[in-house]
Amino acid sequence: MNPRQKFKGVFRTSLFRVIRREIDRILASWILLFTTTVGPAGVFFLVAWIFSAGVVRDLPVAVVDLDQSQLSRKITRMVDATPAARVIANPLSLEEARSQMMKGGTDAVLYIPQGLEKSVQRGGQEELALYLNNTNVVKGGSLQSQLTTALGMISGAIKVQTMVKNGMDPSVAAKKAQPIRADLHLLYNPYGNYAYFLMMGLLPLLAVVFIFMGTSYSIGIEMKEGTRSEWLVAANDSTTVAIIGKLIPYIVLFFADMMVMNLVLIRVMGTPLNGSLAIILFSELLLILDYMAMAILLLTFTINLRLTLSLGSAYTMMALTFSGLTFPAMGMPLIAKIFSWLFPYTFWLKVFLSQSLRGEPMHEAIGPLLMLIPFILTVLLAFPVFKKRLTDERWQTKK
Amino acid sequence: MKVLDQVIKAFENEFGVIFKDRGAILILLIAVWVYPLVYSIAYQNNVIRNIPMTVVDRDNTSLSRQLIRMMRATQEIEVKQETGDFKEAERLFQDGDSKGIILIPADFEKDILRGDQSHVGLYCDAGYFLIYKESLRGSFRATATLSAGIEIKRLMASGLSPEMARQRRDPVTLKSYSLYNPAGSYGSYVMPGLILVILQQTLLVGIGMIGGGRREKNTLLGKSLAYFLLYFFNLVFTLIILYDWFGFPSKGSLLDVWILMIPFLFSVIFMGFIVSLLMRRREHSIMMLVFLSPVVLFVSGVSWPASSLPPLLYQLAHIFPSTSMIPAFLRIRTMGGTLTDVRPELLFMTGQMVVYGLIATLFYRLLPVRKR
Repeated sequence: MNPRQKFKGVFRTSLFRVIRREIDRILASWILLFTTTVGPAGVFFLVAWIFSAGVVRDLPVAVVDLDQSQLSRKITRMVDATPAARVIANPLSLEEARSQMMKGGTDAVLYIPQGLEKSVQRGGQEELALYLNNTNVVKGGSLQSQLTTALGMISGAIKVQTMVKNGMDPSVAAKKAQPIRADLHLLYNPYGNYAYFLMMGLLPLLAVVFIFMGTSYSIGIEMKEGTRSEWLVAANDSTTVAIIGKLIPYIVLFFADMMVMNLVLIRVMGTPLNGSLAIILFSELLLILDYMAMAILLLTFTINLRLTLSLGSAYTMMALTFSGLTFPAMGMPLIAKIFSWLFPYTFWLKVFLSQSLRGEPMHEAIGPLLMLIPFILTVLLAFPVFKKRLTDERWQTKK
Repeated sequence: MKVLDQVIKAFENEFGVIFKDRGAILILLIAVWVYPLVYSIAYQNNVIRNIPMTVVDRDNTSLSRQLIRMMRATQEIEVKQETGDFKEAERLFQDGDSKGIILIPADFEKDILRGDQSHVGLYCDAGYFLIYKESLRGSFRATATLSAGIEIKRLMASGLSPEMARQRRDPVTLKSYSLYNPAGSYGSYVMPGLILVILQQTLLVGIGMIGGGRREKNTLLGKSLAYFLLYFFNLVFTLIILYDWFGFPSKGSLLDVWILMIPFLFSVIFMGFIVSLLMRRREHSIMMLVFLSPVVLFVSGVSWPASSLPPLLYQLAHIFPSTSMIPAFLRIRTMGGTLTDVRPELLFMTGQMVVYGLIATLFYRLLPVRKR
């Protein structure tokens, strides 16, 4: 055989027949096309759009101003100027403000007592009250910290004014007003906002959902529709060739989706890439293979496509909760921590954080990277059973 | 009573179909119970305490030690190691043994006694949101407390009484009251909305899985009632037993909650029929609805405030009944409101129920029966 014939020969092998067949199948099925291309890419941008504001902003705040003085108006303006708050109303009483909160019209009420300005001018102390709707702790937390800071600034300014009035140099007074200052240095996340965290967890989670669904559907539907003999004939009756040939187009497509995800995470969101991109890409390839393996495993055990899809939806979705990104693993009970090891996503996220935000040395990522491999190995163990399952009659008879 | 007979027959038939389908049982009966349970367990500890931090004390004076004691006294922070060497602290941080570094500069005490300002460095791990927020809160509070104490002492040294010194230090104070979820518990915040989204999505997926079937007159109503009854039991588990077990806030009247549930559940059921009639295969409904679930959660305003969502998107999100239901439910159940407080949402969902019901009926008559 001369090299040219050999080259042509490759395209006539059973593996390529299976790959060609699968590409045709994808092109002929809207759901497979959606799951592998438009779906993931579309939803990545949709999520980016959801969180495009980046921070919690313009939450409605009502101010009950019983003082109606220059100072109380200044306070109202300061509250309005914070990013999180927007003063929407000046109710006349706390009762009125409360009913507004109950109707969902306001998230916080600031109460300014009568006689505030007079008392402060006399050198006294006055207390304002802030009633926060903490039903949503993200809203409540943002309002509390920003309004506390704003009020602290007003209080500090009054204090400095008093000292200057008593003859102190303004720059000395400013230092005296706050003997210890805390300087904050953010490590690893330049923005420190919540949206950022949610997106970083959500995009890969959605990718994983599509990988799982696409893989189980593409295999399961062959059994359900009774096209598996045609599939096996294309593979010269080799189950190994059949399954590898089938998965190759999906590996390529899902890897392309991962590139779109990286683009959104790194370019659109601006996640710093402080480590090795090669390791990130490699971990993403392993993540694809992991969830493909899990799909095959579930199909093998359930012998039922719909059951696999519904179990798989639970399995893929839950990973976010247990990954520790939204709620840290250190705050979880031990059982939840152990549970988190069932998901490849947990380990993948560690690799990603280590090589993007954290910029840790490569050896830090090796541990979690290795943990992605056992998931793939499970499918090798289950493969003899899977082979038998391919010819199982229960695929079609079962509801 | 021919109509009633038809309705009852369809109702009975649908129960038969549901209980013969393992996939449907899994979604409509098991997932609905297991999901909220698993999430509740994960969020059970609710608040983060004792975050390990390293202190680098370059001053080593009684004042710097006082600051460390104050850091230790906070709930949020646990000072795990003290060292004089920043490099050492960095190493501990990178190994994950500590989640942040507090740097007390040299001449800390001397500067303060001289009347200068001293800067304490806080290095917080912003790689995990809640850890960052809590460690920051704890260390800020400790430094602020020490700072205030020093100021008061200074003012007293200038001849003011302790009372006047305290007043002079902070002329306008703010006392904040966190209503409805005073402990700021993560579970109480996220679970009520999450449970509603789980109820909605499992119902949509479950109906999509069963789909099709015989289409005789009045069967749509009978079928809908079957799902409604089934979900009534699910509500008892999730909204009463589970709520009680994990101590989620429960203030308003349960009767108001049930009333709110009627248009919500029927809107979801009719929407489920519409989706299932549009999808050619039952598998397709599952696939389309599953990836939408997290999106639905985030556009509903549960964990990401509605005011920060793109307005157009928030409006589109109202296609899902959960978007109106969640805020209304929270106002009654968590905040203790009444039906008058949620009138707009109640009216919207009732309208939604009617419109979705009409569309479902129309599709039911017109669209062809799909493949199984």
